[in-house]
Amino acid sequence: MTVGPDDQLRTSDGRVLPEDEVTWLPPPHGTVLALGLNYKDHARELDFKAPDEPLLFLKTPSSLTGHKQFSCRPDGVEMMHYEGELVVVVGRTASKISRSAAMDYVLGYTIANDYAVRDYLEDYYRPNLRVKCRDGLTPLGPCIVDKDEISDPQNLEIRTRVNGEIRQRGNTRDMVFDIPHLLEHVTSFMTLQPFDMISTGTPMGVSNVVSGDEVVVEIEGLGRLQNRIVSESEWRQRYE
Amino acid sequence: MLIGVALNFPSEISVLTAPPKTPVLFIKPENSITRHLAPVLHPDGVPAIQPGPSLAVVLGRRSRRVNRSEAFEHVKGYTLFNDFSLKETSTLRPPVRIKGFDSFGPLGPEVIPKERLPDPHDVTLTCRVNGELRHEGTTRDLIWKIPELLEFITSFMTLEKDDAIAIGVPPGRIDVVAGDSVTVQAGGLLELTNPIVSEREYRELARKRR
Repeated sequence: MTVGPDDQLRTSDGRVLPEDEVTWLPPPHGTVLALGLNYKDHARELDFKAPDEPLLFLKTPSSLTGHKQFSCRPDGVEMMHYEGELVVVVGRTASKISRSAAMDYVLGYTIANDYAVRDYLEDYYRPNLRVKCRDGLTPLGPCIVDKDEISDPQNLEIRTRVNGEIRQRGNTRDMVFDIPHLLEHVTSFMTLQPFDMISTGTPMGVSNVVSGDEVVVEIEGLGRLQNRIVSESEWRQRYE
Repeated sequence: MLIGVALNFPSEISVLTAPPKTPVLFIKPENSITRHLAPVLHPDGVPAIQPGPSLAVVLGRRSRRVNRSEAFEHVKGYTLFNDFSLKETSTLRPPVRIKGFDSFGPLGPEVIPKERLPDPHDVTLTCRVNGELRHEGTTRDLIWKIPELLEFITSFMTLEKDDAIAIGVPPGRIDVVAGDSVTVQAGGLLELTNPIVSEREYRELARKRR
């Protein structure tokens, strides 16, 4: 299956699937790690100093959802924001790899929108699971783009649009810890397997989103990851 | 998937100026999960690692928005978890490295059906190192008990059949090093033993297994 322009899906025998017959799932994934405060401008925006070592947290399988799906804004919360992020996908078993060899272990890239419901933040294991690991909270996709198609992953524009308006704009060159550094750090203690992923953090420009908003994260060369925010009752109707 | 609960004993939170308002949860990643008798890595460059016995509740079905009054209908049984960790100096950030090393999560040796453990909130947890009792506690003292934990966790995320929740390690963690043999027990029902090995031995054992 290949994905063409405008999310056109072509099967291996050449058929093109009509868009309304397709439900997008997240790409195949194993362990998914994510980064907090990995852009200096975003750390500043939240009144944090950029950390001395990567601030990692783990995503749960049920928190992930696909392109063009719906994410739930819990009733009554004050602040839920998007986080457009570049995701690195691991291509082969990686343990204790060096920064210089790290890119040999990369299969490709995709996009995440690592929404956070800030009302639930507590200063224990922050960001805690109730903020980041809610069912269907985190769009991932639309698909994995082979690394050979991206000449420099540390120079990609990230833009997040809400209802068409650009609200977040950054470039992966501004990461505090770049991809080789992150792979070296994570594999210093953890063996990564094919399709394990690291979502590399979000740049400055987060803002509140509400039920009904359409949120699209676009990264140069990786496409656009589209999602709509819905209320709890609508979300349950769709997915439960 | 294995979710752990931290700071679930009164003596741990009585010293905090702002105790947590909800259960403090963490995830043990897949690479950390291992089994009875498998080697546990003592990484180079750290003086010691710390085992931590916990009873683990195993889910019997897909569970979302569970009401505490019916929590046990979702439980299949219990097993034992040894939550290995580096010495934790702060609980501000998720313990991904602290608790996420390969092999830092022995689980097992089996799941006992819930009928065999009618009161999971009265279980003695022990940790023996080379046969000597070094760490002891009881699930009687847990702050958040199984019904509250299941209700809280499933209020925002769906748990699947066979997911497990390690409900808490008693305070007073001890140090162990390569060469030690660590056995944790839950009452007289479950016993989980793992040898601690150096990086070099760990790599050699992994090579032999391949």
